[in-house]
Amino acid sequence: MSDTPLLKVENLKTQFFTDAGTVRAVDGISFTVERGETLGLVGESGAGKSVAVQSILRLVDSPGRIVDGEITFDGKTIVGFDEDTDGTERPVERDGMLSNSEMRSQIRGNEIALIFQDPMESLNPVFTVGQQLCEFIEINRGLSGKAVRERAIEILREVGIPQPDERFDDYPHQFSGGMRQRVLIAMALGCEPKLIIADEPTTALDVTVEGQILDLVYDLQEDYDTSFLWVTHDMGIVAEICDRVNVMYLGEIIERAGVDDLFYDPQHPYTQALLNSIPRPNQAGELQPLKGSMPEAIDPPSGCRFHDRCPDAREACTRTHPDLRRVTDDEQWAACIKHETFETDYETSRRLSPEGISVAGENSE
Amino acid sequence: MSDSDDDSASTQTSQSGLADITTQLRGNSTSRWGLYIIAVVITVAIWAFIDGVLLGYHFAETYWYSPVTAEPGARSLLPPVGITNEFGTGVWAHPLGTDHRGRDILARLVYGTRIAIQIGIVATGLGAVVGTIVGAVSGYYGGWVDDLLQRLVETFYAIPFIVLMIAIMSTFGRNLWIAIVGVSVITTPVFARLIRSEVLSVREEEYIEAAKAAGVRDRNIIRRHVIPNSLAPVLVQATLQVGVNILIVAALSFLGFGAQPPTPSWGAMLAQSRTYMLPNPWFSFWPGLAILVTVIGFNLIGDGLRDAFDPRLDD
Repeated sequence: MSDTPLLKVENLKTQFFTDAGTVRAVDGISFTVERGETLGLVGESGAGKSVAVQSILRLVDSPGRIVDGEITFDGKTIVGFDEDTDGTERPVERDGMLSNSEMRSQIRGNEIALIFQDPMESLNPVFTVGQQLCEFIEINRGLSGKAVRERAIEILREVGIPQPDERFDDYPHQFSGGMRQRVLIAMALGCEPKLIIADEPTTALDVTVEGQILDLVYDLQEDYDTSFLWVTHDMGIVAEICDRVNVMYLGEIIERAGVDDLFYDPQHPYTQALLNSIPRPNQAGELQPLKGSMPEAIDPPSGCRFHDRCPDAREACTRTHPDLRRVTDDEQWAACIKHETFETDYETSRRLSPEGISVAGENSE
Repeated sequence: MSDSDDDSASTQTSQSGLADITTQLRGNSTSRWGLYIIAVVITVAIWAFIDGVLLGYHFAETYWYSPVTAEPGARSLLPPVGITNEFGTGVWAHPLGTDHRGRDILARLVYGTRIAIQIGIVATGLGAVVGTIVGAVSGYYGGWVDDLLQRLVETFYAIPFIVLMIAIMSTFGRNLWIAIVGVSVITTPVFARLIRSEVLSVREEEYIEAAKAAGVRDRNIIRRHVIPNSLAPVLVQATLQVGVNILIVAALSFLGFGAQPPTPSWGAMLAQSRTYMLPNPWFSFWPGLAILVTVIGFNLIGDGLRDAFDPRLDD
């Protein structure tokens, strides 16, 4: 075990070049996934979580492109840019970057596996579950013939499919949603990757099944010592499964903390608002939903991107773009200028409105 | 009716893929007729191939009439139905009559089936395979690959097929295999277009994304994931296209570009009977009927397949 993080993402920028303009879906996020940990990536729909995930695997489809940043995985450069050496404005791709075919043969599936959101859609309906599982194992583990089948059945048993040698020859539509999700986890695990990225894997499942799947993942993580990057919008899952959490808003990470710190002492108003909007057993009274919806990433608000929905917003917020910085003695980071009182005029500037939120609501219409 | 409905509903959950489709085809009375017709036609064609091509009309000449050469002294006979047989005897020996050279029309029809089916199925199959690959690659990659392949396809579309066929056959010779290749060339664009549109939606499916994320090669994604999931309309079109191609072949034979005499073929029979159309309409009637029935048979199956593949008609 080395001390370097398994996955290191630095200043990643992924943009979509559409006719309506450039969508800055991921705008300079940085985070690390340590070996053996489960890192949460939380945010509303449209925050850029999925694009971040696609960027890590270099699967961003046209018109999207990774325009800047650096992603290193276990010593290999997945994405790397150098400052413009050829006089153009754009940074240029670095030489040491893995080629597309190296990405395919060395990283995807092999080192980083992906579990998808919708178990109903993520299995090919025309092939049996076993065939698909075998295909993935064959490609990524270099097994062949009978060994593949044996490994496939073994892994189906591990993820809790009853009678795996019979179910092996069943088609996806003969499985329930929870069972399919188990199969997807089996497909990811069967390749024995170092990192599994789970892109909202329990969203389509009911709560009981979700609980079972989370338990399963927890057990498997102990057995396999795999790292997880868990993408979700569900704070309940975060609390249950993650070690550390990154909160994303409109393409940026606005808070990073250990899971306990995040829940007991959130430092960013957005995180606070998120937590206020979900029922918690230790909190009486009415829920306070977060008003408005996330602006378009095509034309993000000036200054702090959250200011038009933020209950604590002041005038300074519209001018100053906050950086993610450490705000407590623990490893808790937040991007909000109310923690930067000495450098900005947050304290002195006037509140945007007592109901800063509703004003923004009118503006966005 | 309700019985068969219950049947198909219960088999749907227990069976999958082809088995389910065949069950549905048999359950539908019109497509069942299509199946019967095509089963008969194909059996006849296989027999014609074995005896005509492999054995040189051995059985036909020994036990029946040769479809190629007329017997000495044979006359042109009309079938007995509806019209008085002005030539007198030999009525039941030739139930469909004999042609202008005295050859038995039924025998010529039977042995002519081979050409129709051979070109119809082989050329359609060839065109479907090539078209599927072209269309799948085109739709999957998009971008300049798509543009290039689709412009190529459109170029073929733009040329009237009969003209193209005649050009091909005058250049390379009037030969059965050239005809097959020619028909498959003009069939390819149909399938390339059809599957491309299907692939455009299939490639956005999450299981394709999952396969990419697992490091599956593009060509394997196309082969194992994209094509099998886009194939339903191709199967339907292929069945319908067999009928169309049989017509094309008949048209070519009619124009003298298909199988060359004395090889029996339906189109050639039509062409030869043209001169005798008024005194002896039966000469033209029988081959026309054979073409009609066969094409209808394939169309019925095609329609049945389309219904079977259509999820909206599942109940």
